[in-house]
Amino acid sequence: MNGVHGSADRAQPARRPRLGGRAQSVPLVARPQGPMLWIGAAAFIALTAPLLSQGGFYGGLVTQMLIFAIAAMGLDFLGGFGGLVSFGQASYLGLGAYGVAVSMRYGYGPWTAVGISLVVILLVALIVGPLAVRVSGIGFVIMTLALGQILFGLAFSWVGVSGGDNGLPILSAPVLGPIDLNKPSHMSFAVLAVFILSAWLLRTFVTSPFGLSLRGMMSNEQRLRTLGYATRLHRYVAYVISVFFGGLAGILFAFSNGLISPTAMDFHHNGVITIMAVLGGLGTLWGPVLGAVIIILFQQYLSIYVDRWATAMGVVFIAIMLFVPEGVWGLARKGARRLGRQLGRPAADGATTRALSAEAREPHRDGQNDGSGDEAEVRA
Amino acid sequence: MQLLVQTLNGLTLAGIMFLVSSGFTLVFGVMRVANLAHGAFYLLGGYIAFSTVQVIGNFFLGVLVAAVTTAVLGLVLERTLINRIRGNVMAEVLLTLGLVFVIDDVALAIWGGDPLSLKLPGLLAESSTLPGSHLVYPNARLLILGVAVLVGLGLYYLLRRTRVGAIVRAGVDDREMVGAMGINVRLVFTAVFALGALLAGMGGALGATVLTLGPGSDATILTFALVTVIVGGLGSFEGAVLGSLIVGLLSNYGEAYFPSLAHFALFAPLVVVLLIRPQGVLGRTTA
Amino acid sequence: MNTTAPAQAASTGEVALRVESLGRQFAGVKAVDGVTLSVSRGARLGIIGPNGAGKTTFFNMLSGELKPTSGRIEMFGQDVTRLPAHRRVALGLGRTYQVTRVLHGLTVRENLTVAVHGLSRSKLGLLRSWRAYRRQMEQVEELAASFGLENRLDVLAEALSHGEVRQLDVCLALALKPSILLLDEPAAGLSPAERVDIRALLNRLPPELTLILIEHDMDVLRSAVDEIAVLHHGEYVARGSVAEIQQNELVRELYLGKQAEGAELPKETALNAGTESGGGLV
Repeated sequence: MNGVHGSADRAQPARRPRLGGRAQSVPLVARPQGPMLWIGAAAFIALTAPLLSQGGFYGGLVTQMLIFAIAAMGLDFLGGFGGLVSFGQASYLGLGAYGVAVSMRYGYGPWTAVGISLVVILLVALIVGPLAVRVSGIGFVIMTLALGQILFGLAFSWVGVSGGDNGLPILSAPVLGPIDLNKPSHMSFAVLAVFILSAWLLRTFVTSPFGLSLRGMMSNEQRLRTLGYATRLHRYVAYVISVFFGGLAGILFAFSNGLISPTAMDFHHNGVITIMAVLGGLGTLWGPVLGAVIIILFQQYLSIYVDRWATAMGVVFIAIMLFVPEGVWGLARKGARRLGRQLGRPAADGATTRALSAEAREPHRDGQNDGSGDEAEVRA
Repeated sequence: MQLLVQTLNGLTLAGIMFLVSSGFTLVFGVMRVANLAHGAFYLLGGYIAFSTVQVIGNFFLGVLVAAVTTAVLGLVLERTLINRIRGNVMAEVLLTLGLVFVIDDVALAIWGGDPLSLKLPGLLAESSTLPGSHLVYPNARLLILGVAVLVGLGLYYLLRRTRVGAIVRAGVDDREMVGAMGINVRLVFTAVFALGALLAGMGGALGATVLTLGPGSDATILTFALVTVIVGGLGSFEGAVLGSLIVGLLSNYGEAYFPSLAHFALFAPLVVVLLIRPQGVLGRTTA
Repeated sequence: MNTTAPAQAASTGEVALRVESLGRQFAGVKAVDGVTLSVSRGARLGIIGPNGAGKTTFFNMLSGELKPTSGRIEMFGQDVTRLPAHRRVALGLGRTYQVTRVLHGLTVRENLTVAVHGLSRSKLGLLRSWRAYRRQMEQVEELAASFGLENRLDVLAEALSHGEVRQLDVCLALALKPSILLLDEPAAGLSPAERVDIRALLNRLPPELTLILIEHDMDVLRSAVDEIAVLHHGEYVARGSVAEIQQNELVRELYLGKQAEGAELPKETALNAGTESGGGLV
């Protein structure tokens, strides 16, 4: 391991940065395959499309969920499959939104603004990436949070460009032929389309050799190095991809919200996106979507009925961490497996052999903490 | 003269930063918990000191009450919550995030959303002429500098010269070893967490005299603390000293001379340090 | 250089690996101290030494996971002292670990897939499923079959038996078709039956492969290597054929102390006592 994280790793032999990975490792394999995937996707569209076309409060709510789901899935790509949980995703969402808003403020059209924003996101990711990927584990959390907060601070204090505390309005949205994103329903379906595209892309990434090696890296980075992988390069690429989806969500956020202010990228929002991914369950792409849905519903209804909704929210976060640290998805999977075992048949999650073998796993004898590991960590 | 004043201001800022970041780095070093609620402890400390001064009119008592309250709060939280998920690193971090939501919101309910500034009573509100120059400088800032130096020396003594410190340092180096030595690791953890909270609370009480105190100050100070400990080296006490000086001075110059881009002043040392020494200036590799 | 005529390996005399006064200190303690040796292509060299002799440290420096504090390392005449681990892998260096390092959370098939992509650009491939890489998938199946793991392909790595994990670890290293293979105690912690399997596995290694093997089990060594080098307190103290080393007085002393004269060089158990918990400098 390098630098900052070295000693942390040493003292915690078999621990992996993933949540719930304390006593057992839940296999990351319960991704629906083939037809199941299509059925799931169809069901998802069938569920969201009516709400989106209906517009109004619910349409807006679902649009919001989808936007945050994109950001959370991006976070999960790095966190759930690469073991590096970022705490700065909302800041990149803000960056994407400001990319649009600032460009338009200087007189560019919406489409140009989108282009500029994408370039800015990529540039920032490429510049900041080498810093972030120098550390792993808890060091990565601290580093990404610090970088995210610096972005926030910039948005807050660079008043001449960002409008400071008041934020910037985004007054018009792109138009493409008959599709006019200034109309809320068109906007909503555009968000759905981008969401589906993002989910598909990320799923492709996850199942690619690159995605596989990310999972391998999460398991044992040093081994990956002696299998020929330049692991830091891999982390860098994964980080840029992850950030990109945060920024993409931000672009959508800018147009659907019509306003971007520093609040959207503050400490709390950074935390909330991370919690979304964790609550749903890191390591599955559906997890973050589920998390985004739950958290946004929660925020909405809680803020209507409870005065001190932030306190309630905090209490819920704490409760989640105390009682279901592996997330809803992980919990469901554990339950399904337990049920499957009780019924005397293989686990109900479609990955029969693997789940079974995970069950049958004998307690592991070698921690990954032999002397040589320590020595290797001394490398700067 | 202007530069000298800015340097002194930078040192004051460094003093506050040191109080906050030394607590953060201690907790991280010993427990491997990145306590995101550290900034919230700072905020709470500031508010409590503010109210105490309002009621009693004694600033020193205010600092004391703030420090003790946050320490007790830290102790209770560690014992009741963080303790229960020990070892699950990410869950620990996110739990402290939950604490941030709660503490911030409770503070908002009690002290409101408007930024406050701690008005110092009596002599502390005045300024002194620094010996050997014509420089007039606020007593409050001199006090902060003094306290930071004293706390720094005290912590140094505690960590380097006492048995307790030896245990804590051993905990930073090798936690299993401490357990094997028959020391009650849980007790060490609780004590360190409470000490960290105490330092944050004290930092808040002192910081409130020169920095604005309100919703969001916790995140700002946490950011400073994070950058400070990354620059200085995560878990390193000496690193916190050095990191605070670097970050405090740079960000103060930044604020004074390029106000809109002040946050780049935080980014710059981060880049430079990480490219040259990824483990931080005084961070140790695990030898 | 090689002194004995190799029994089963095709030594050509070309130097595969040369190490010159290689040293490593940890906080002033010399874990490896000025080791100089060279290994011919195709040679099979065993490394033995008591716990703390610096064997694994030596390996870590060869593999690039640990920077030496002094000396240099050459692979096939090229100075690799400063090359990072993954670049040495690209030059043909493979290794396994004393405490096995297979990828948990991944199935055997996934483990091997990661390995076979290790040296090609396809490891950065993002747009196709790894299952769609036909050639690599066939390679994985072949590899697994040659190590008797073909029925375990869809089992998670952590569900394998200890012996299977050892095999998988070796398999991962071989997936990259290394020309130099470093094996760190491949028989450690195995049952006698598994030990036989690992010996068979070692005997099946391609003859042109240069093998360096840390091992305590003399039976394994006898069947797998031509020569043995002895490390003690980080220093290189002796080298010779297996028989020579077994006769060597110095080696006996190192292992047994003087009182044990005449005793046969002990088998795995005695030598290996405490290895599992081996301290930092093993």
